[in-house]
Amino acid sequence: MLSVLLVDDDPALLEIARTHLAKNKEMGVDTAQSAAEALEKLNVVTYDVVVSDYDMPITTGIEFLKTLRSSGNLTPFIIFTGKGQEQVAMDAINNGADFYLIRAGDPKHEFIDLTHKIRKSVKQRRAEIEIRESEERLRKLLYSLPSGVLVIDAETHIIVQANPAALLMMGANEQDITGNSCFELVCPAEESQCPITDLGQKFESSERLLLRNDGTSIPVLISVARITLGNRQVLVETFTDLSAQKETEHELQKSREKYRHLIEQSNEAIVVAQDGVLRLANNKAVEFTGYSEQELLSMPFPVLIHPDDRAMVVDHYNERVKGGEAPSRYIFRLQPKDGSTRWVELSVSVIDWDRQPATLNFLTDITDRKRTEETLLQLTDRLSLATRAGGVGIWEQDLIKNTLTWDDQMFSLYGITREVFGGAYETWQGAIHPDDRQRCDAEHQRALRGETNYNTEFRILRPDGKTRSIRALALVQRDISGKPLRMVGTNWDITGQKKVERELHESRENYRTMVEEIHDMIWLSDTKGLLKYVSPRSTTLLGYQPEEMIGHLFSEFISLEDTKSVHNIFEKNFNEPEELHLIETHSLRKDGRIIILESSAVPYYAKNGTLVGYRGVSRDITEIKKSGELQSLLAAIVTSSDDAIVGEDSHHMVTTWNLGAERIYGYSREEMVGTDSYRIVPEVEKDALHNIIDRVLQGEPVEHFNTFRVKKDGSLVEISMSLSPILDDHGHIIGIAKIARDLTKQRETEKALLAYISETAMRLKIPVELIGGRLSEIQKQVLAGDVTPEELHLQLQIQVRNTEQIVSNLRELNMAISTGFSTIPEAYQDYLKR
Amino acid sequence: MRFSADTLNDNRIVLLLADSRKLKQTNTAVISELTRNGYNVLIVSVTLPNIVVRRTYEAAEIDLAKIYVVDAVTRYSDGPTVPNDPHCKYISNPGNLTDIGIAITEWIKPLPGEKKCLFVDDISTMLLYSPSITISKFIHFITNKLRLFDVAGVFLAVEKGLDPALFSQISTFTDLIQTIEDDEKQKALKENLSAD
Repeated sequence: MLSVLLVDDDPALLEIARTHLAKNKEMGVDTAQSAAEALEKLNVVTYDVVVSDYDMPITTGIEFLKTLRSSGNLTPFIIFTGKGQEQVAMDAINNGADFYLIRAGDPKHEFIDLTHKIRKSVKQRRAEIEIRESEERLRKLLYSLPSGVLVIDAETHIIVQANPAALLMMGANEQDITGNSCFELVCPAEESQCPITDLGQKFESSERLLLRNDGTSIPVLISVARITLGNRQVLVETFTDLSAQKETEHELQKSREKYRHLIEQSNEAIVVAQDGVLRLANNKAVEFTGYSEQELLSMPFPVLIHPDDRAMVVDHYNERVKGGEAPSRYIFRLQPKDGSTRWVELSVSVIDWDRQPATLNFLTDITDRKRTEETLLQLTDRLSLATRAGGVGIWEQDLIKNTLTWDDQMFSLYGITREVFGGAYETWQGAIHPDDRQRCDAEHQRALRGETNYNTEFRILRPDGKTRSIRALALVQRDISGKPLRMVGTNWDITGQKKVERELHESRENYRTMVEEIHDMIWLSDTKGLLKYVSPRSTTLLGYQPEEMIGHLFSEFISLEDTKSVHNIFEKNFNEPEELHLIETHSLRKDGRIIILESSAVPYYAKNGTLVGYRGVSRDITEIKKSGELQSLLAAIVTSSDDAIVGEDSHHMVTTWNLGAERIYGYSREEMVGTDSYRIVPEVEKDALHNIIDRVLQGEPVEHFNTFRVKKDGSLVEISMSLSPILDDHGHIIGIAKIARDLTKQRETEKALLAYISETAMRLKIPVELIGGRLSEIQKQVLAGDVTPEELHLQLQIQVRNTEQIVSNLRELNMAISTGFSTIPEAYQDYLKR
Repeated sequence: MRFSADTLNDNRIVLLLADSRKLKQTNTAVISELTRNGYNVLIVSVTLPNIVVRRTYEAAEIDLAKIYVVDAVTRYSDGPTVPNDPHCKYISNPGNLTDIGIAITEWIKPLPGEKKCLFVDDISTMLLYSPSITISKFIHFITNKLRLFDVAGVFLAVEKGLDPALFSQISTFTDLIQTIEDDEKQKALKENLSAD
């Protein structure tokens, strides 16, 4: 329903008009008798239309209209008046009235006309509002678009409208843009070549440069479409600023270049692995592997991995790609194309590569590092081994933190556990022998003050109660001001060395005593034989005090016949120093007696290698020489005997072993002398031999007996053995002499003889018995007449043949005996051969 | 103790030891026992010529059809031989062990169901012509052949006529060693037992 406000000063007319307008219930009619009343109502209520009289007492319809419009109220306004003046009508229309109706005819027709005009004005106003609202929406849309929009007359290519985005992009205000040709601002190269208007395209979209008001240009993506706006053809040209996109693309390209450069110039091999092959490999990867980039990207990457590490790396790769847990950094070996081995450290992460999971791998060549590590490890091991082998403990005192650190060897040296030690200097002090403790601490402090080097020895008391001697060395590290920062040193056990030093001292004393008390004369001479020292035994030996001999030549105490030879020996040895072996000389005692001296000497040298002289020993062998000849004779007998003659001491150790023993037993003298004589006695014979030897050692006489011994080749040899005691000068039994005779040949002879007797018995005695038996049978046959002469002859002939064979066999055996045994006298051999 | 052919059922090769004066008697008794028990016998004779062997066996009523003789003494003693004698093979001398071995090998293959026995007369005489080591090897060879063809064997030797070494070797080749007591000894033994 339309709401109508009727304004007229005539109440009757108002009532008539209300009646007419409201009768078809299309309109709701309100009334006002003056403009002022109407304006009050209009302030409160919105009407679809106002119908006002012109000629009202206070305010005319025109003035009412002006007031209404000046207040911004655009409600449709119809002047419905009795005055038909043209000027009033003109004023009404000019001041915004929609219609001017004159009441001058049939009221029925007048109100029909008014109704029609009311409808029309409302409709028109509503259309106007819709247009206005539509335009407003379009304007807002245009103004809110981020893209620039130009509306261009299609015929003239004059820009008629530009939205703020377009103005912003072009750096201009609307006045600078509208009214200008689009060819000047947007498409300068397309004048007369416009794709839409000249070339007939319906739509154009392309990248262009948009000219800005300041003369610069920006890249834009332009879309142009032809539309009809009102009754004219326009081109709507929208453009999007591509500057940021271009900038981004440029930055992206720069970034890509940068990353590419970074990857290619990297000192690490960078590879992307996907589906078991490499998708990217940089120059370093090519250098690491020796394969070309093309080869790398076409082969399964496990080929590049050392066979021993391949399974591990592939497992990690698969696990990582599946999203499982795998180390992101580890070390393995590559196997380059040349077959060598390279250690690499891998740092890996999972990335998207062409929307598929892949691994980004950074490989650092650590071959040199590994070598260095190995070398370092070896050196460390070697140092550790050396310190352990040498029993050297290493300690470090941090003088800033006041802590003392020991290695394992230190704990071992001191016998202290880590828990007890606790890293305190005082603990170390407490371990030092009380007698050495104060000195040690003082030396330590002096070293810290830089007064001396730390190089000392001390004793420690271990918890197990043992006292050990320690040698200690240390160096002090200082800052630039000379303040000590730390002290590093070593300890090692010199208990053994100390013991050796003590023993050496004792040994020297012993030797000195021995030299002076020994029965032989010890002497020192220079290279010419000039005596520089003579032991006190010279008094007994030669009748001279040592002082009487020192300063004299050794040869001065030799008898005249030997002087020259002794002198020559020293002369010769001066040029070619060598040991002087057992020189026998006739020496002249102070009392004029001649004794035989046996002397030997060794040269001794200065540190620079020059011969200084000789150290010698001389002994009186006068008595020995007298008995020597007899001993030589006995020795010759023993040596040349075919029997084994073996001497042994009371502990069964072999002392002598002659050539006969070597022949019978197979062992040389060197192999047997000094060893247990029972080594050649069979196990089963040992107890019996013990008993026999015990008897011999007790002085009982023992008959010779047959026994066996084990030869060197493991075979047994049968011997006949006799034992006799060896007595010393005092008649005490000090050993046993064993004389053994080899029974092998004797046994062979006996065996052969047995074989001969046996064979003789078998091949001679039994056949003779057989022949005898058969002759008896033949005799019986003859006596019984139970044999023909031919049979008798034949049987006797057989026995003759048998007899001849016996004789032949006997001869054959004789030959064997006579030629097989050289021990048979020749006369008997001839006899047997007959 | 007398020899019984049943002995050969369990002990296929037997060494018979007999007194040197009773060898011929033992020979005849053993052959008689063997032939009576169905054995065809090959006699290797180094003591008696074939002609005497046959006459002796004939006198003892031995079936001569079961006898085949390898005669090693007739030729050696220049005695008469029968050419192509089907029951006798003449060997040049008792020391020709090769020919004796061949003769045994030719004879040894038995026909199905046939019982055969080799009889060697005697080892002691063979020792007159060959060293004991050779005789030992020969007997080893022959006993192996006999066992291969399951033929029985009886080796005769003089009691106490083999030295310990040879006796030991032969005893390892044979299954049984049997000493033949002569009748006089047995008789004396029985008298002693009854007197006790």
